[in-house]
Amino acid sequence: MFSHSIRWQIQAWHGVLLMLTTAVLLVAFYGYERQQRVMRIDDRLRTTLMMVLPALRPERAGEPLGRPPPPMQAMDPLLDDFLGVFPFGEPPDGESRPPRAAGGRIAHDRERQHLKNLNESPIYYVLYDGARVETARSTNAPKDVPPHDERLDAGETFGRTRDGMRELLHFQPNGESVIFGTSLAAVDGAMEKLALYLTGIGAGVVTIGLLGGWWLATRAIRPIAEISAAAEKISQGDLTQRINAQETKSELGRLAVLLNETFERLHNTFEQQAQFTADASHELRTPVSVILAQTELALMRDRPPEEYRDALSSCHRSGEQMKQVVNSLLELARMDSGESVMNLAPNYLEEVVEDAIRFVEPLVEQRNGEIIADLEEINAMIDAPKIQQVVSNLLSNAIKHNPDGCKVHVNLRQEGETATLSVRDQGEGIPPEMLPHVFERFFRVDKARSRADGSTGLGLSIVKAIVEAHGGTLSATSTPGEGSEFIVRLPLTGKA
Amino acid sequence: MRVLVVEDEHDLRHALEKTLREEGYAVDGAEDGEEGLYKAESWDYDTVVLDVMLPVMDGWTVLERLRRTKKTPVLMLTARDSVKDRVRGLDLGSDDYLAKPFSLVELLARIRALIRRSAGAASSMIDLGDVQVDTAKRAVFQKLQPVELTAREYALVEMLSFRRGKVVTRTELYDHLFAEEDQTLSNLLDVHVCNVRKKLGKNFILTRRGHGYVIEG
Repeated sequence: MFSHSIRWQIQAWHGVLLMLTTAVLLVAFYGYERQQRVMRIDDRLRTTLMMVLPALRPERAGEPLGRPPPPMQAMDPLLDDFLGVFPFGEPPDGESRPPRAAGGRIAHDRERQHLKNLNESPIYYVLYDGARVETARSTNAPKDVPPHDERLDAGETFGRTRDGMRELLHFQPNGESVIFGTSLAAVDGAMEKLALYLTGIGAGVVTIGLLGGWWLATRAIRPIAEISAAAEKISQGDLTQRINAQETKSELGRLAVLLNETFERLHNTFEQQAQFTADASHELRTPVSVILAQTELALMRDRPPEEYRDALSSCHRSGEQMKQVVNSLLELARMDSGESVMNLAPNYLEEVVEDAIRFVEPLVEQRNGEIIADLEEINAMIDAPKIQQVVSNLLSNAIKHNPDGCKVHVNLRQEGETATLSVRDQGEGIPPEMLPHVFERFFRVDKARSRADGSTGLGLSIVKAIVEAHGGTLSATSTPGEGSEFIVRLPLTGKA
Repeated sequence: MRVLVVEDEHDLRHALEKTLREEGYAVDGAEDGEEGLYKAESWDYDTVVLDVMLPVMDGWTVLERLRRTKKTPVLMLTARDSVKDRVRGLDLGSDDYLAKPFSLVELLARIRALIRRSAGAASSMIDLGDVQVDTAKRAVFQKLQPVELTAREYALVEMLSFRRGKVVTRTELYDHLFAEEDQTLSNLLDVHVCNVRKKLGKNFILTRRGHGYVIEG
């Protein structure tokens, strides 16, 4: 469970990265600090080396180095102090010194004293001749100080670290080499403390970082949690749920808005579907009620034959009504699912319209009406039977809504690449507030009258679906009291 | 007992009217909401059977308008039977609800129950001492023996029994026992009263001269 949570994943990665970064930083700092300390020791060693080097010059080589120096000023054995006696900056090499004849002897005595003092200091020295044989050493020097491995040019120094010691090797012009060294114990002790200290700091930084990361992850994930909670409710069937999106600028805010819009569309689709199902079942329930009531009544007692005949014809009418509703519903369903493919072929539109007019002839005669057709010759890519259905549907609608003995006008014109068919009646018209709904399924302007005509309330929906499957449009205009006009526009080349 | 059926589907209304007539009700019909409201406001029906999806004026509106003036029991008939619709109907003042398609037997039972409740009777048996009226079976017993009555005669007995001890005027009896289309000859009621007296005894229905008729319970 935890391993799948985004928050835990973020936290884990954040933790690993934070620990790595902190560790690298602290280790780098530790290394730098140690290097700095070693460099300071090297500086001290070099200073000492320069100060006592004259005492180790070749001309002095014969003299015993361990000879007690003449009493001079009291020397502190501590290195810092004897750095204080000889301020740094005094040129270490012989050229700038006073001439040897003048005061060289005295100076060398002083240097020899320093050399002697080294025995009491943490710094030791060992002197090797050209054949890497030890010739002199301070008393505090460790036993096994190895000589240099490789020779460098005279006057050069290089440092080495071995067995907790830091040593500086210096090469003399005559082939001798001298090693100055000191113990790194103090440095190691300090570095150990530093390491402890740094570990503590590291742990603190990581802890604070992890807490901060947790807080950030919680904050960042809160909108996601809200989204998923809303989505969960919606998936449980409550389509009225919406995500509470306070801000809409961030990525998650935009996602929430987008999801809300999707939910809205889903909700509307579901409501339309539910409404459609309710309407469809209503349309079927009425004829079923008639059949059940008529049969139940007929079966209550023995009746004369004409009463049975009445009941049966009533049932038959209801059955016909149901058949029409079911057929229309199936046709619409086929249209909706795209199963009903239009077989587009070149056809003369005016011939199709004439066929439709012939088809509704009986109804026209029954209503004592008249159809006035004004048709241009137009060849178009259409599914002829389907378009004939469209036209005859519009025509029979017009006739039904016309007062007896009135005319229906049919016009067919070509306008550019479009064929325009209009069917106009002289009926009572459609109230403006109902006009936008006339193509909706099961919508009826006058419920009683349409029922009496045996209409299903699906005719115009089917007409619209067929026209749109041809890439055309269907529209209606109406003036209450004067009549309605339905206009079909079809592209000549079929689907646009 | 007089019932109004408001239903726009001709075949269904016809079946309902015929069934109710055969059960001895006086039945009027209306094919749209406006006509239904007019009739329901004009007469004191014992029950109105009202379809919801009606042309001109829907059932909800008819019910709402009717409730401003009358307490007539109303049974709503509808093809939409969602909980929302049922609650709406009951809240608007309908007394019962029946979803299409329905069984005629159930409809008749519900109408009987509505009439009984509006008469203030809890049980379907009315005990008049010597005579019992079973409104569920629409039968009359005298000394535990069934008595054969015509539908109109039964309706007369039932109406007087529901209001026993009270005088029911001739006008009220005419209004509730005969529908608009019945031939209401002025002495038709007297003929029925006379026939009932022949079957159930001279003193079963008493005449209050100048007022009407009464059954003393």
